[in-house]
Amino acid sequence: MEYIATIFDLNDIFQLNHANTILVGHDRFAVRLTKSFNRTEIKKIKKICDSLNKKVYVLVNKIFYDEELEQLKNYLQFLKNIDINGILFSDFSVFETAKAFHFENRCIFYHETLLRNIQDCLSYKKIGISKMVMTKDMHLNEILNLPESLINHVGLVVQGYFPIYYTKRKPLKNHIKKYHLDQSLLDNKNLYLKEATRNELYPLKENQNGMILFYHQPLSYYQFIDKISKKISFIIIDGIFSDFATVKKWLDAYYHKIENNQDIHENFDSFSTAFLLKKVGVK
Amino acid sequence: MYKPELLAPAGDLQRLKIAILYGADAVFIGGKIFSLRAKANNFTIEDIKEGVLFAHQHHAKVYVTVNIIPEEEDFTALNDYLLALDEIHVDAIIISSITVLLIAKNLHCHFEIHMSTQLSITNQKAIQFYKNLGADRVVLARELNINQIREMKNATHFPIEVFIHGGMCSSYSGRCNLSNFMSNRDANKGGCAHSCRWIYHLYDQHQLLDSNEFTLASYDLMAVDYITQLMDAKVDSFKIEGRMKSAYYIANVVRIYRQIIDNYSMHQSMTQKQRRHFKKEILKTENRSLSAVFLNKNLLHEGILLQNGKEQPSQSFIGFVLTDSDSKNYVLVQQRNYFEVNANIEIIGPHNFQKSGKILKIFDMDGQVISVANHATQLLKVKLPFKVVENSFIRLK
Repeated sequence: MEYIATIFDLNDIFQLNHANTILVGHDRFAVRLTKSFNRTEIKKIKKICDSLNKKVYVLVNKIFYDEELEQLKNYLQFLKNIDINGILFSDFSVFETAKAFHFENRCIFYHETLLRNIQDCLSYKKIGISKMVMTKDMHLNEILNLPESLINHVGLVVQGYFPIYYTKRKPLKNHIKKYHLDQSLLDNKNLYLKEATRNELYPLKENQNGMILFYHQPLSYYQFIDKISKKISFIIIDGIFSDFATVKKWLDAYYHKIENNQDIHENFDSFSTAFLLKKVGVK
Repeated sequence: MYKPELLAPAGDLQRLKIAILYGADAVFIGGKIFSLRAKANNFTIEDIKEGVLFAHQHHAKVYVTVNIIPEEEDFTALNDYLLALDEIHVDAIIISSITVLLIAKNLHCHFEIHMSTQLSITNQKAIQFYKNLGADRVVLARELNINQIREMKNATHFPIEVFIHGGMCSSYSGRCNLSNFMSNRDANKGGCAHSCRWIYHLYDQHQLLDSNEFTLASYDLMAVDYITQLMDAKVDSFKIEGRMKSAYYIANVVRIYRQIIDNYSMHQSMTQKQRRHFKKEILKTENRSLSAVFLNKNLLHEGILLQNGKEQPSQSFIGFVLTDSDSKNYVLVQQRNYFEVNANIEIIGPHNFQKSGKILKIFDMDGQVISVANHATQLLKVKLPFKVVENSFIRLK
């Protein structure tokens, strides 16, 4: 199993003993980051990881527009030059751009909604995308039915807050302007939306790329990881809206559960399993 | 002179025929499986066959949406379904899953393959990706402005389809799970509960920040101001959204865009007066706020979202004409909203027919004279001051 974790600071890497891979990104090219790391920092992260025999994956999961393609190309060229081990993308411009300088074999498909069945995993593999992150919409039975031929190619985000809505619009900025609220709200990291008839508070993030709304509970597949782990080759622990201690706690927990069959004691009532155990309908 | 395709939605056979009679070059419809808009009636294979025959007789095309983001069990009947669509000469399918594309290619289906807006295609490299896979057209994301669309077309010369009218997802299409998680209804399989139109409030941790409604919803799209630029950009297909919309809505919106396209194609210009007229006509069937939204390259973030927008149902559509006029200008009408004798009316019909007048006489089906039509869907014999044809719509003026 490959264990992938997000970080908040370069020094975090030294403490993530059980992580094979560190996941980082820059907010010009990525959405849903724990922290934005610039090129100099990413270079340093790669060096640190090389010295610790870890890999570095970079999140490049923004939706791109034509006027951004040149910057994207430069960024991917930079990531190739420092021999980044994987690029997590959702927009196929990343894959096509990487192709131009034979870097597409490092591209890992990571889309919020598209990849939720075995057939599509097989199709993406067939067209040359060798690694992919399946969505939170996957049902446990579908994961357990993944064929042997896919095991080395698929993985899952197993822990952390997950997105349920992604818009190019800036609803927060719009709201602040309309109601003459304090502009500093744009920098507030603790904002939530609450639907009028519900009690749940949904965390939100808004920046130049738009707004993302997250589910009110973090995802956790921990209780099912012994079954799931036999069918996939990597897992991601995402620290967004959380902290380093939490990432480390869960990374260690998954590692010991998968490798040593050691359980932690945790109340899972405040976690979501998304659609792992239930089917979503249409009516 | 170049003319883009005018592509209209149809939720059932009646609406398919109306769309074509009112000027659509092509219609998109959903089958019983693999189609978004689960609440639309959707077509059986027999319905699709009849629709294709009708369309082809009128030199129009039929595209079938096969664009859910599928789960494993959805693939079970896919091969047979694609072969059936091919056999009845559907012109294209609209898809989100590349597996559907690969299977269709493998089955040597003859129809075109169009990549759905669910894929959020916003740049020329993404177009290149789908072109390489064998796609025949891409439906662009609704987040693009007119300049970006023009440049993408110039750079790729690949067939592109652009939304010009109708409802908008406020999220990037296909990337929203609000409905899935809040209502257990799968937006990516046609079950969208429109959770983005619900009322939200903004909180800092557990503290309510202000009592004003926080809106996520979008204005609906109306591209009247951009049609000439989109035509200059040589966009291949102009798409109207709304498979759930009524026949009256489809007739009215299609005929107006037909007029705009034909007019600009012929004269290479559109006056302010014409522009105002077209907008006014479209607004006769609209009950939600309209905007050019992202087509406007100068659009600020403000103005994108609904501001206290409430839907106002219109009651101006009063009757659907079921027969051609007889020699005394009587027609069979299905009542749709309250009307009276002497009501001032306007009638729109196929082939750009539009004329005003009064309701002269009303008879029920027992031959009794009545002065008021107030029973929903009641069949009535109505005398009009001029001749009209079947499939016309009567509305209050």
